[in-house]
Amino acid sequence: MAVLRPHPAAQPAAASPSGALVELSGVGRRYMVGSSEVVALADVSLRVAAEDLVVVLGPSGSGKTTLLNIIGALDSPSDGQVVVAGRDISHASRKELFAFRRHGVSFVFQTFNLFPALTALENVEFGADAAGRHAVRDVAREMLDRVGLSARAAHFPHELSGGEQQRVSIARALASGNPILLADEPTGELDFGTGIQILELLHAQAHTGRAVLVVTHNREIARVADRVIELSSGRVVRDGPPVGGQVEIADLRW
Amino acid sequence: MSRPQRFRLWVRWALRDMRRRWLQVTSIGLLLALGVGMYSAMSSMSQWRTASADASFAALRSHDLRVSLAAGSYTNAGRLRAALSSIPDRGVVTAAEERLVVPTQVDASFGRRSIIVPGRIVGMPLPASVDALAPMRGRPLRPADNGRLAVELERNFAKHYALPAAGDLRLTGGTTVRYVGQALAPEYFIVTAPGADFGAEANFAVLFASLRTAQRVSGERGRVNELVLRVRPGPRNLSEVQSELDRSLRAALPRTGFTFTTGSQEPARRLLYKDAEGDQQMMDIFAGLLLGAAALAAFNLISRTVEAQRREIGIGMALGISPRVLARRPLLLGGQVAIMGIALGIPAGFAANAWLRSVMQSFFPLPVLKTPMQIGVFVQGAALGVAVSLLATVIPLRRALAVTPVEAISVGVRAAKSSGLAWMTRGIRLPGGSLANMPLRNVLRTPRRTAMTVLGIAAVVAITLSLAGVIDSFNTTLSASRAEALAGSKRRLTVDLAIPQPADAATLKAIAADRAIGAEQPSLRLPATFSAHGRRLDAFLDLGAQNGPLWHPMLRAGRLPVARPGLVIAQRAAEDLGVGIGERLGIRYPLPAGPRSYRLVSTTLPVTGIHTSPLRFVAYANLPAAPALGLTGLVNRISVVPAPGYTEADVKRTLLAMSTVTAVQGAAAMTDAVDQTMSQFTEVLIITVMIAIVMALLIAYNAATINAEERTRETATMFAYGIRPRGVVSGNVLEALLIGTTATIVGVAAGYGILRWIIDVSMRSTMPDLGILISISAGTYGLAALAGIISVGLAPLFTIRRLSRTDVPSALRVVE
Repeated sequence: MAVLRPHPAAQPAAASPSGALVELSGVGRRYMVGSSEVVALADVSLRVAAEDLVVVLGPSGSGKTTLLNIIGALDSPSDGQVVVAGRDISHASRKELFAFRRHGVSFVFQTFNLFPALTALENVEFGADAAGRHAVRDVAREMLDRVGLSARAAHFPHELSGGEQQRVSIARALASGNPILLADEPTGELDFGTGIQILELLHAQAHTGRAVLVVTHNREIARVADRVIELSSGRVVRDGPPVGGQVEIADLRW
Repeated sequence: MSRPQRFRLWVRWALRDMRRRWLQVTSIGLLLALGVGMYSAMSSMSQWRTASADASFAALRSHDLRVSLAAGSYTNAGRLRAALSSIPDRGVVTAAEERLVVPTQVDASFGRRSIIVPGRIVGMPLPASVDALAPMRGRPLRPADNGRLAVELERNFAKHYALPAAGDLRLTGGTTVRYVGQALAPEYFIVTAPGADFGAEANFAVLFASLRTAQRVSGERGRVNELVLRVRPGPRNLSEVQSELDRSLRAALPRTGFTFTTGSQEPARRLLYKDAEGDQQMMDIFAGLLLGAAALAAFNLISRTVEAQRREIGIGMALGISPRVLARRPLLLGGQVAIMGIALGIPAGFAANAWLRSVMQSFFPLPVLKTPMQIGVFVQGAALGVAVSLLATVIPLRRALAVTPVEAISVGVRAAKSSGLAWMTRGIRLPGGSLANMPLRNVLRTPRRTAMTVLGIAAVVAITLSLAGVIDSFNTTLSASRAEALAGSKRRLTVDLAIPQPADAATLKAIAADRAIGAEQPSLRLPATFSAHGRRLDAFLDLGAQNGPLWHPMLRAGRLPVARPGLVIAQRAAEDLGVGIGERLGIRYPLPAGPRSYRLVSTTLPVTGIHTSPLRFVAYANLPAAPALGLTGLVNRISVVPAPGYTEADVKRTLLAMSTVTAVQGAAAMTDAVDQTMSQFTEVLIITVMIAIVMALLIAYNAATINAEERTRETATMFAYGIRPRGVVSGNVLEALLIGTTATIVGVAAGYGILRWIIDVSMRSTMPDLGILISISAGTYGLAALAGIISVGLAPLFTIRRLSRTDVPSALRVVE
């Protein structure tokens, strides 16, 4: 499989003055559920630099997806400051958040969320198109090639396996050329072998100039990360290298 | 859980479902209600017409047979009855009365409004035992009115001009009579102009009077010209009486022509009975289309809603719940829509009934109205609504229950089990990016669903186009007719004389010399019966100079006969008689046989041309035909134009004073009469079109909201990639426009087919005298586009609020 490198047309990662692509300071997120308040995140501070592969780990309800949504500008914090790719999105307007998502982050979802009416190639084109890139077809072809799916370019999602769909989903995210890649349980729907392929893709991306944040509850996956942020009840309970040291993807078992 | 507890749980669950979807359930129910309500009302029209007409004709003892002497012929009172009393089958005649029916001009000017129209006086015994009058306003005529200048005015005419219950009328020759009331009579339930099958109340006034009064006013003292009789019901009674009376009258009045008209041949009866059938066929088509559109749309929308529950059904299956139990909730949804459809359908049906009843009352004003709600028809429509709702539930439900629980649960990830017909565009590069390509792909992705939406909208478009096309076709036809009638001068009037006069008669000289008359052109107008290839039709034959200064026929084929006798007839007449240019046509017409006496004679003339008027009964012959017809030098119609400084009303008023003048009217009066009738008809069409458009809006709205719901995850993905709601809505609008445009194309094609059927088949039998030209205006295409493209295209805009409130993170994280 080809090593993924940022597309030449990708926007340069605009880091904050501290040099981080993602910087959260004292971020909290509270929801009202009926008449009771639920604290999803509390006082979270962290920094993620380019070329980091960060795994956000935690059990269900620990706040990891909320964290990802806040970094991806799908949600806004109740407290604190969020600076992503050099932009403070904590109090951005709706319009600014849309613009930020187009040019700042890309998503990979657990359930792929490919457009069923578009072919694999067109789904990838969508990513490039949304980010306002030029020569979207060439970009899309290149990205599909990188994820090893050139031969499946004309296939519709339902004609692809789960792993292939997730690879298309990653190609779509990469096609945007955005500096931050957010993956929410990207292997959750996949078998072990396919999950390994996906991890290899993400791993390769982290070392080509992007920051990659992967949310998972699978501790085994965390072993390949450069850094693991563990959450529990909305708080960061650990932030550092994987327990027991980083391992090769080939050594993973689950 | 006990059985009642379980039942309560299901009811609660269904009610919660309904609360969540109340707007959708209500609007689908409303769609069904409109379809069912309109279906039941529109399907009831012929039954109402027949029942009301039966009761009205029976109540007024309408005649079974009418004997009319040839136009201008009269005989002494008692002679017609005497001829009847000498026939062998006189025992089956239950009542018979002689009448005097004479043409006249009526000045009913009221307030500042000038109302001068042609008309007739019907003199009858008081009280009448045949063709009685139904008093509607004022007082009825009494035996004491016999011989007095008192009449009853025909109600349709009076109503048209909103005349007071009683008043004065000036008649030909300057006589003033008092109308004491307004009445309906069986022959004039629908007022038809002489020779034409159209409502003509705006341009034709009928006065009912005692026989002696009619004789006094017309100067035909002691004379009659009609016999009306009622015959005991029996298989051959009427035909035997007619043939025996025919023999008896030939012997009694050897030099006088006469015609028989049976009750069923009377225009008013024909329009009420025979044409009810044709009208109902047309109504049935529209009722069926409205119900079909509602049914298709409801089926599509309900099945999509049930389809959305497939995953929940899968979970139920995985939990081991029996399919029978799992079917309850979706079935309850179908049931809710069906109940809502019926619940709203009842008031919709009553409202549609009330509306069509009022239409019928104004279109066919009858003294006795029987317009009950046709429960059977309503139940029929409602049953279809229920069946559609349940079928739309059962089909996707069966599909959902047929798969394994694992498949059902994982349905979300593989939401599109196939890409439908999207493969068709696989290798095609469409302009624009992937986002721009998505609408077409989405349309092709679910072909069955797209086809059903298209068919529902197409049915509405077909209704819109065909109904509005009928209005356009009438307008075009009437414009052609008016253009032909007014070709020489827009101010041309026709002046009809009571009896034909020599060309140098004093009356004609007086008319020509009148100060109000600017120019005049004499002709002779005959009621005639054309025949060829065993087919016959009645017409008015105008005999005059074909190159007259005020007017001459305009031709669409052939030539104007100049030197040799020749006929110019209507295209519709040529088609119906099966004759072409150069062929000879049989003509039967009244020939003067003595003072106030005519006999019917037959001859043939060649057809040399086809004129442009769409009126089938209009025909022309040239002056050289006069000797061939034995009518040389006679005149009974004069075309005139007002002199400078005089108006049409001045001419009418001036000529009203001349006793020999029976009618002065605009040259396009016949067309105006048709126009008047059509304007009422148009109202029905416009309201039906409006209902169709409301249905299109409902279909479009429901389709758009269900689409938005089904595509929540796709929308959320777009939002995650920074596509703004405006971009998503634009894509949805484009997709809707594609569906709307396809539906409009299909609907326009189907609508054109229906229009052709209405004009060429249905109206050809219900309005044989009008050769309607098929025409669809730009405005009608605009209406079709409004129903099919604009309403459907704009519907996604109603989902903006829902889209902007999408919980993106939740939508993206639905783990299937």
